[in-house]
Amino acid sequence: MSTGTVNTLIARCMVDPEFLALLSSDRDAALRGYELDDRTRSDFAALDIRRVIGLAAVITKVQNNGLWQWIPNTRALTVRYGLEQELFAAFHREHQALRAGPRTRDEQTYRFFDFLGHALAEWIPEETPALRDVFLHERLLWEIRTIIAAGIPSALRTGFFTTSPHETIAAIREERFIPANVRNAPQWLLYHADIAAQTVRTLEVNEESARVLALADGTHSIAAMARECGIDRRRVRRLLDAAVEAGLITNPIRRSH
Amino acid sequence: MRTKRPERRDGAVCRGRPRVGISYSDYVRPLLLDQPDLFDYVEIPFEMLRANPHVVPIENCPQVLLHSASLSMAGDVPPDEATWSAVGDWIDRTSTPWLSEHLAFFTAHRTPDDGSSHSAVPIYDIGYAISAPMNEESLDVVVAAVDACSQRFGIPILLENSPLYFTPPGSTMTQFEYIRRLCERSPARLLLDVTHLVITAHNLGRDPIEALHELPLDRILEVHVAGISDFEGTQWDDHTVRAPEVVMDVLRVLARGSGLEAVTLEYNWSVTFPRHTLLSELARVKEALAA
Repeated sequence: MSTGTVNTLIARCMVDPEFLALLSSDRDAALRGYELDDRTRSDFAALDIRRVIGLAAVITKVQNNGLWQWIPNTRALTVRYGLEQELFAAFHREHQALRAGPRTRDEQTYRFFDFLGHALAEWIPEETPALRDVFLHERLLWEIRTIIAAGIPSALRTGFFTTSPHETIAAIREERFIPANVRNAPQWLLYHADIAAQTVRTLEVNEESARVLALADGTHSIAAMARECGIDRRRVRRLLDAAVEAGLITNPIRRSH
Repeated sequence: MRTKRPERRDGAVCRGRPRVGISYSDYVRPLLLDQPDLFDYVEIPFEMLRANPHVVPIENCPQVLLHSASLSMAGDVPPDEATWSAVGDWIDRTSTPWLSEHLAFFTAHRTPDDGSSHSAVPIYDIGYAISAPMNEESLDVVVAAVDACSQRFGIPILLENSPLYFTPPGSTMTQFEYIRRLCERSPARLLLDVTHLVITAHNLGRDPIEALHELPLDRILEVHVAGISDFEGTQWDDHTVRAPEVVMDVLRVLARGSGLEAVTLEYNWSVTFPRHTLLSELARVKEALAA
């Protein structure tokens, strides 16, 4: 009888993306060596493989439910644009690799964010207004929150956006988001840890400040920052002093020994 | 943690209004603190309690129902003794009136030398419920598993229908016939996931209300309610969106003509599920039950 073998084959499709790909492309080769009665073999031949791939995607999605708490509005947009299933079908391979080995929740989240970042850069259509900006915004919030949780005394990130993530998120929350209504609003945002309040604060900054502060992680000298940003050292110094005074950063520059 | 033991654990049909509960998610605890009388019970996965026993007690939770995804009832890889024992322990600790499990398998024998770096592990662990082929052979497996559970735990065993996205190869009957045959051959009760029923009916080109009437309605003690998403014409289980109206239509039929005791809102895939949406779903369910 074939029932146990069918369970094995379906289970293998769910946990072994290479096998699922083989079943998609060459069913005879995939089933070779498995003891199946004629009827079951014929059922496999008639199987709509897109639905098997879809099930693998749904399982991958469900097993990553914990991600959405960090990027709820990114999720709302992936659902809105009908991308969720494709996204998790594409993440299947990496997800199974993660399941197979020890990993922390933060590692799992980081790997998914990295995957999504690449997907947005490489194959997710451009006609998905605000998606890239909202994801970048939520990712930067997560990065700072992770740093706060680790007890590191200061953290800062900057990002450039073509639309306002705050406007989009407000529209999603108020259930009035319409893709055609997303307007261009180029802006640089700065994200920093408010350690006392254990929260992340954001503020809009100009490009020059954003570029300098992005380098103010204690590993660059003032000369290096000035060179990289194409502005003079005194200007860099003034920007850093202002940021220190505002409590945004503590040790912005590399000290020479 | 011990909750008040309900008076009846024999699964006898309750003639009152079905109780309404919620599937556990992190948002449930603060919700019940704010609104203590909102739900009659909380359904908690056994696996969650096993991994984190401190999930219980939950303040303002009148009762816990235990829901398992570990016994692989339709599979040929039985759970280990530690799992059996832990399920029994949590049945006692929660005083659950019944144990619900999936009419599905979670694990299967690994193909020897499958080229995986984990080929030394003898099983594939999917971590998710999938329907086995629906035929006499798998029916024998499920009937034996129900017997084993009933003998071991001494409380009613409820089996939950899986959503079918494709008919498992090797099936010789529909899911509706399979469930009917199962109930003829075993004392199993049913946890009818109404959303799964609607998905299965849609994906197989059937009318969900007609399909419902092919099931032994008197065996249904509990139902699950959640949402559905659609991708390229196929419907998929989705616990992050509202239930479509057809789910409420099925619930109305069940409220009129079955021994339904419990209705569980299963919006447990997102800890940020909006409270106003949950409350609105609760109102819809209560309206459907009162119709």
